[in-house]
Amino acid sequence: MEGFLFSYVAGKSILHGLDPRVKIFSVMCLSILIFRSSALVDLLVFTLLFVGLTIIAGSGLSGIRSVRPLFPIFVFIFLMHFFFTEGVALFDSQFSPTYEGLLKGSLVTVRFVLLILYGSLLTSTTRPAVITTGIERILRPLPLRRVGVTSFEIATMMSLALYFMPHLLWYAGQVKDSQLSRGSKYRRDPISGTLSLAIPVLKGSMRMADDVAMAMESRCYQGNFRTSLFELKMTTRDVLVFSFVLGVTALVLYV
Amino acid sequence: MIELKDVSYSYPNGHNVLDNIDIRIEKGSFITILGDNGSGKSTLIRHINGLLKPSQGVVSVCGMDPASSTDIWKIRQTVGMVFQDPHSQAVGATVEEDVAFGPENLALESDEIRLRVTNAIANVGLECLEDSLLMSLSGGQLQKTAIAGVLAMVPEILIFDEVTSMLDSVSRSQIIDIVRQLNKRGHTVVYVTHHMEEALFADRVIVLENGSITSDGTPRDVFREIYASGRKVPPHLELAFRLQDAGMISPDVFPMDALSLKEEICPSR
Repeated sequence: MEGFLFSYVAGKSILHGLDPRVKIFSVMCLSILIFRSSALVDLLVFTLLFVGLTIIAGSGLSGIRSVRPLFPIFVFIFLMHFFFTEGVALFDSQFSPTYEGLLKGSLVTVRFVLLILYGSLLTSTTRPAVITTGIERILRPLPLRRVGVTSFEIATMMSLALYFMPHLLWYAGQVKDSQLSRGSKYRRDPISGTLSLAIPVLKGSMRMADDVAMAMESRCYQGNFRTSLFELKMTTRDVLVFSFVLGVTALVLYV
Repeated sequence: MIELKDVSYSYPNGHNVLDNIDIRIEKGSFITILGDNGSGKSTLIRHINGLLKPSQGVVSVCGMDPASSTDIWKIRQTVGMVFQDPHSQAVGATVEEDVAFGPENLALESDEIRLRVTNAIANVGLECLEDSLLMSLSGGQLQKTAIAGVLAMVPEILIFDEVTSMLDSVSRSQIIDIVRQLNKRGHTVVYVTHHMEEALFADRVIVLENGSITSDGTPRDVFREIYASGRKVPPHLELAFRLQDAGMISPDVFPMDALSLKEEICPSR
């Protein structure tokens, strides 16, 4: 699955060995700090931190490469701000991009890219099953039963989403190829081509969801208490990293 | 061990799929349910682990009722089921995570889960692919992972629902070998297929047509009956039956494949 969106890259680095709860908490803290930062210099610091952590993780460019499919979204976010922010026009044209738009677009896009990259760092250094176990443990104390779900159900949903995301992309590719081979004009008319692709993909994924549900039920899935192959244990190192991240976040936010 | 008495099943639209089915399956046996698409094979076996409830009649598995909500989870531990499409029964990202799904649902300790996962993966010969991502596996390897996932729950009864229909011939024969090995190790096997060649390895063959049992007996008797009624049987069996009818080979001969028949006709020295 290497190279797919948010895929895991096996390794033995310090980041790989950290408890998933600490990593999830750290990514949450970093997200808050990234969203609060309003200067490009702050974002440069977060970029350098990301580079440093990537080197420590030893996952190379795999994590970065895996977010390539999101590149059109990054461009879209930038262009929306570039062209639709009010301010001093850079040059006269029908759409009139502004200087303020350039700054805001760059800031928002870099923030978004950094969020995705830190997310990919989490997923590239943590097995999907370990992430979902970590999330389940974080959610367990919450009174979720009052709203009709359990932490186990949320964890299973996440685990299935992580597994089926690349599978659905693969399936959509198969449907697209089969339509192209039967004379579909997908390349000439991408909008109606996408619509004609969406219906069979949706239908196929519904059928697959039914089959998966039946296979899960036959393997005793009930949505309530379940254990995990990966037992989570907080070590001294985990506690130290957790305290450090918490301390730095509190310092930046309140001092 | 498994008993279906006068079982009928109709879909909510009134379409009758099973009609007064009576089957008794003994512990340790290897039963093949043979039938064309739409004959009711998959519907029948889904009654055994409680995925469907009969419209009429009674199903009993080791003295438990799959239609009862109190017995259902015990029955699903006792009856492991492997489905046709290897892609839509995988729920984990890697082989070991997928195999661990069942034991995790049984709320076992992680050491016990690890032990069961290792044993199950070894039983299907995927030891070297334990950490592999499911997306990178072939159809045959995925189906072996699905079998390991069921074995990790340590079931007494194994049901295979057309597990080879989406596989190439090499993977097909590997899966059949695994199924036969599992039966030899004591598991009761219910094997559903529309490939006649795959039914030859069973102790007993049950033929379903339009929701009713039309033949039930040893592979030798059932295939003789099919041949006598003028329908197609595997080519090597047709040749064997013709030679038997002509008195050229013993009526006791029942070759599993063309090579065995050749050995009967002209034994190698």
